Amino acid sequence: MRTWFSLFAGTAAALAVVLCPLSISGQAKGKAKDAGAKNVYKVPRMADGAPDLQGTWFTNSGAAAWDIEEHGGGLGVQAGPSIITDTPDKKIPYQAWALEHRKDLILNHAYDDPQAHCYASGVPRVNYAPFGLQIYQGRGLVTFTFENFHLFRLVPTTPMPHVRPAAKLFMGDSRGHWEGDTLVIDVTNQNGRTWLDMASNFTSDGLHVVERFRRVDENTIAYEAKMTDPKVYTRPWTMAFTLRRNPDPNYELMELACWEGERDLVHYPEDQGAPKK
Amino acid sequence: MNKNKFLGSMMAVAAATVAVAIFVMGPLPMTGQQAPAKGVPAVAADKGGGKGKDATPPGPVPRLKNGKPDMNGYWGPVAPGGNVNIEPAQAKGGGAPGGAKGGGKGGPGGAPGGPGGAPGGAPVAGGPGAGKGAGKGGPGGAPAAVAGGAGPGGAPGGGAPGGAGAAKGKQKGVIIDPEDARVPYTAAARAKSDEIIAKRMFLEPELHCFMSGVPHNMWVQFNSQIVHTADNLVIMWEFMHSRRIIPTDGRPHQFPGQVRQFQGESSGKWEGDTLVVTTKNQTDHTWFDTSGHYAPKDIEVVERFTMINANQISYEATVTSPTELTQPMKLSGMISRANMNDPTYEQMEFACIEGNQDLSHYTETAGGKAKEIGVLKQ
Repeated sequence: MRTWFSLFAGTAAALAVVLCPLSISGQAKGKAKDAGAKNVYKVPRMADGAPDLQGTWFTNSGAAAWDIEEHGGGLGVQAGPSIITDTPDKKIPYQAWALEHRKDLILNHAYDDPQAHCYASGVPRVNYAPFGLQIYQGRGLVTFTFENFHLFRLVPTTPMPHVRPAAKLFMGDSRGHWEGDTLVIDVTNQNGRTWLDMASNFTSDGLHVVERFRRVDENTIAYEAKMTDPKVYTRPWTMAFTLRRNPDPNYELMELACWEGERDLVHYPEDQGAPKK
Repeated sequence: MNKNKFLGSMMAVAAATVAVAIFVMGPLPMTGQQAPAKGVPAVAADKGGGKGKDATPPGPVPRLKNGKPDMNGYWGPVAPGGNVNIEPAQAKGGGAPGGAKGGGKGGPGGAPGGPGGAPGGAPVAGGPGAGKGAGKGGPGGAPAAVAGGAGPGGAPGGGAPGGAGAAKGKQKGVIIDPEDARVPYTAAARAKSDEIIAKRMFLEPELHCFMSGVPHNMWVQFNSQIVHTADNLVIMWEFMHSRRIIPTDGRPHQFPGQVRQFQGESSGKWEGDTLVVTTKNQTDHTWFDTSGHYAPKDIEVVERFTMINANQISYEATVTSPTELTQPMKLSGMISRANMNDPTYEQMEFACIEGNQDLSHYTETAGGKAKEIGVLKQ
């Protein structure tokens, strides 16, 4: 849990100034609205009839960036509830070996957090990184740009098959479609080199994610991700939280150029897998 | 040095490009040199080196709902560009890497062949307007400085001594003002650039997987995808997953002076059908090319994007620096639509830092002993 530095790895002091407005307002409190439920709110539509998700948003998932399971606070670690909604204990249903592996990671290998090394976050982690994101729509494409690591996702909403299974990518291969008010994104082809948080919750290259984005009011998108990975988990499970619209209409995404000013890894001790100093 | 630099350039592409990207990049060769359009600023559309095999005339400029030109889609790099070297390689003198170290044996493009044929002497062989360079331009006249060697436009350039055309005064580069097509550095800035070229090529920002900055990013290898909405023009590259977000509402720049980004802060406004983008607040960690022509920290860049038909965007840029350039540097080229033959084409993931093996190829004389990974002082 000493890994909180990774949030700030490479973040120029300048960013801190601009990110102030981003201060995350509250936590998910385990009450994220069901992204698949029926809407009372009438979602504005684009010219092509698709629900309009455009704008600048930030995660309302609070402390999930540190640990998606319930956890206490500490030095630089924000306490928070679990964002897992459909397992009895609100924990990730790891297979026995995977739970042991995760324990080893968190006790001895926090240094290996891929995000501390500025690798692309993968899905769904990119959605609850504690910085802003912007959504653009048009021409059968939903585009996400993230402050985090200047990442972007280009999600076609026209029918297209996934790329061949041998292609493994940090951000995977995303295919979207609309179900009523909900943008559903099917994500495959992730490379298994990403974690879900700084608490070493991990995935494999067998991960299949189905994301659902639905506007539930003017300023809120309900988000959920159904996670299936038969190599690691005993059953599919779901996480959910909300995205809040940035209240500043002039807000501009900044550049979190992680790698270029990376000063995080030096903070990891040797017993966390860091090289000898 | 040249060899090292060239190797570096190769490796920068090869090392960081996952195998996945390579097979997907196959469809990159672009279709067609397009017919010239009237009123094209600065660069005539009919100067392409390509043979104009594509017989399909480009359609009229597509429009967004708000009536503005619609630039959505896949695009190649600005051509002629300056990715390998923004300046024509010099036969003499210390301007280009070849001259600085090798007694005028050509610039960084001097090595034969190479990925995508980019190192052919011409900064970007085969692009519109580059037909007289060492690279003769492919059937499409499309920018050939792409990885994978698949671009038909680039390969012919391989083998020509770098800068051969330039040395004879024939090569046209992306710089149209000053007339000598060189960066109008002050004497001190030129000396700094020469020193980088001679001793510190290890600093080359893209080797370190940094984003390229403006305008360099407009002519990197690999294509870009533009997502164009009523309010924003977002350019996303496969290379380094770089991106630029350009609001098009003419908003004032918001960043205070001390806030610096690799891609700066851009603001766009429409002047008729031309999108005029002003970019400020860049860092001092980017170069104009991969050959040591560094970009001063205080540059301000004004770019003009004018769509001249369905498949071409005329590109102009003016770069000013009150401290390190003696005059405005004007750049001009053409951006051509890409991947038109493959409706299923998608950008893939260029995960640079995760597999970067490039730095290890640099020798001590190029600063290759440097161990520091983070931001490097130029």
